[in-house]
Amino acid sequence: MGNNVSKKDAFAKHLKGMLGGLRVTLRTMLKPAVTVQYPHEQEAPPTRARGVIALLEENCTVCMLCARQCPDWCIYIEGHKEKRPARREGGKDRTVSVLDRFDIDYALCMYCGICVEVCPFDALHWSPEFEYSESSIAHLLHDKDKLGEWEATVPVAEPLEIGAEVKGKK
Amino acid sequence: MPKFEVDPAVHRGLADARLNVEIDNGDMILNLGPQHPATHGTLRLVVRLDGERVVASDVVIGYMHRGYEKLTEYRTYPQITTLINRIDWLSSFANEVPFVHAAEQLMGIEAPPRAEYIRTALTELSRIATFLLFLGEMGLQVGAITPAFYGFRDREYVLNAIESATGGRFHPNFNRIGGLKDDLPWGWIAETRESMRKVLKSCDEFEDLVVSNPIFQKRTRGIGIIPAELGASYGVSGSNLRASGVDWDLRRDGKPYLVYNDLDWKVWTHSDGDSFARYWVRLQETRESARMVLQLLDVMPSGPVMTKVPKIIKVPEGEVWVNTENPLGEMGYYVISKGATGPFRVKIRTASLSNVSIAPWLLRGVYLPDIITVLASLYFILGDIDK
Amino acid sequence: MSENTEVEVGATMSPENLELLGRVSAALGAEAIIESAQAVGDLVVRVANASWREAAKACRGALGFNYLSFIGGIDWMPAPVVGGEAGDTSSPVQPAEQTYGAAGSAGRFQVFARVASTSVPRSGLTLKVDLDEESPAVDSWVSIYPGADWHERETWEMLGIGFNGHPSLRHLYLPAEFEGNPLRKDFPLLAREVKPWPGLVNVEPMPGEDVEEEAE
Repeated sequence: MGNNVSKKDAFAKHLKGMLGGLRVTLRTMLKPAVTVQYPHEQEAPPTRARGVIALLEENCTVCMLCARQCPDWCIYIEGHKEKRPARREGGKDRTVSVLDRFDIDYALCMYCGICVEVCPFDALHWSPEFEYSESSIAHLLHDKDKLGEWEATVPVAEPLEIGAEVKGKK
Repeated sequence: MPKFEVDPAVHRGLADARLNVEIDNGDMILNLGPQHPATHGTLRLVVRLDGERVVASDVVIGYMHRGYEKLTEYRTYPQITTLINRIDWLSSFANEVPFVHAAEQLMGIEAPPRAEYIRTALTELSRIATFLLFLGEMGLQVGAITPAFYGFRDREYVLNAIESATGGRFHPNFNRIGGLKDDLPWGWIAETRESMRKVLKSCDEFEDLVVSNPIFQKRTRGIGIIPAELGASYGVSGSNLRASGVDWDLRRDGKPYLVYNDLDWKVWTHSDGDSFARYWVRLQETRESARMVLQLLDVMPSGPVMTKVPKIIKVPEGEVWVNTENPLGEMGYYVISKGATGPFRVKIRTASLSNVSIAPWLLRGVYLPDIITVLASLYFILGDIDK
Repeated sequence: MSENTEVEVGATMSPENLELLGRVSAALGAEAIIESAQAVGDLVVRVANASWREAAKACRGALGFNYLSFIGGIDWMPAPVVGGEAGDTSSPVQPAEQTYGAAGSAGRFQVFARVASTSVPRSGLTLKVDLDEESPAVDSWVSIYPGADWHERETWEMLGIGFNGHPSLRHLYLPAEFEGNPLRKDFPLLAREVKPWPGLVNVEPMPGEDVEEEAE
């Protein structure tokens, strides 16, 4: 007799467990779907998303800091020196370094952002763009023209959260 | 007794010369993996079956070995943080924290309080993200596909919070020696508070959907029991050990780190030590972490997030052991520095390696379908095993 | 073997570590301990090679350290400078002389391990052991801490350190036919050898101009 009761109890408990689960799925079923049908609809990545590195060519002085600090050795830079007229009247001609080649191999890149941080002349920026997959690995090597095109997609830096220290220069 | 003739030499060849699963009778050798949904990567398991029961098993790892301990010797300290957050890729932020602390302790500097609070919040967020995947995926391993979808859905809220603060969904690389790369973006605290409410709600859903489900209980209760003392001697840590009744959490019992001492929280344990207990403990810890994040958001101090550090970071000579309670268990770095810009030797102690090393013992006598549930309940990440 | 330096080290040790050191030497015998030091709050004890297994027994037994955190190895050989003559300064330059960390070492190879107690908060002990340089080997801990199995296999394949009494020293991470010990300092990292460093200054000078020393 006692055995019977416990069997009944167990059955009731099982049924309750099952129904509890079904209630959750039913409730979810009635809610709108959260999935985004990607190629047709798109979610905007956050401003800070590290999607692709953009290059502002005129800021680059070929100092090689980014290529040196890169842990993956995926930045290749070449340049040459040129004489430019002086900024002021009567001054001496300046020698400037001009960028010939600036390649980032995104097949190697780990998206760590060290190059962007070490750049002393603000030539590299993060852009949240992410749609640059290629069918061949060789095409993931972006040259300076391609990297320059990304510059248009670089967002304006967003304000910081309450309590953040207001930064001075740098 | 099987009738067919078995040539032990042939079987031994099948099982690979590296394995010590010895064949002496007509038992069946079954190869699981290296590609299997339950393995979170490429884990190969060779089991010897007697009927449906496991007689012996051997774990073959190393398919994803990337040699991090060697790679660290060729990199500078700032370059290493981006490397090591790939060890356990589900909770990358938590991987960075002990290493950055190790370097900071050797240099004798401390991150500002706001940085430590944000670090704690992001560490707990990565714990929630890791556990939500587990809570859903464990259902999948017993044949219920719905929880997996729910787990992935709810993890997105947490990953969105991590991404909007750090810029990386999986690889934040947000820690710097001496603080953080940047402060939080505008509106992050309010958004994260909302996400945490969703997480708490989804924990209730998992309770209804999975924990109280009689089929799930039948598949997990009393299976894969880790005795507390044996587990500790194997180096099993984290939720796996707490599910065996060991009240040990490095956030509370380790060397004080981050700001856990300022928070009101508790350590959850379960006395059973079986697959169900491991699920249950992780469910409670997800809730606890969400509550911790909510507390942190309320008391976040203001101020800078970066202390003054030299431009070229050189860590003074010395050695230090820093271990933290990561989502998967105890993660630690033994950093030996000789005063250079990079470490001389970094010994990486990962949680999953020790957690899985108990598998051959644990799977003995288990039924074939339960191998998957036992493995899934141990919850490992192959990157965390293979380093 | 170096002399016992406990006295001078003791002066800089925290009271908890001194107390722990006292318990360790009581459980293990003072003669088994070669040196001890404190590394950022943690006690590091260097034990004699012959007492390595005894040390494990004492840890698991009398000292109550029931939890094995890890076993690993160290190669103290100075790291060779990579690509130095080509101007490659990418990898950190380590000191050229062979120096040893906390609690010292008698030679190039050391095995070290970390144990802790799950019942005592903030407990733990780092143990180190010296090895013979020609054929580095030490007793295995597998019979005391079963979790030592994989850690010892890893140390064996990565540093070529033998573990006497280990049930089956096989490759753990690397393929069975792999030769060499990758974590030894004289094992080159091929990824850094097969490709020139792209960080070398690659700016063509003006015609007729001397190459200036590039200052960072």
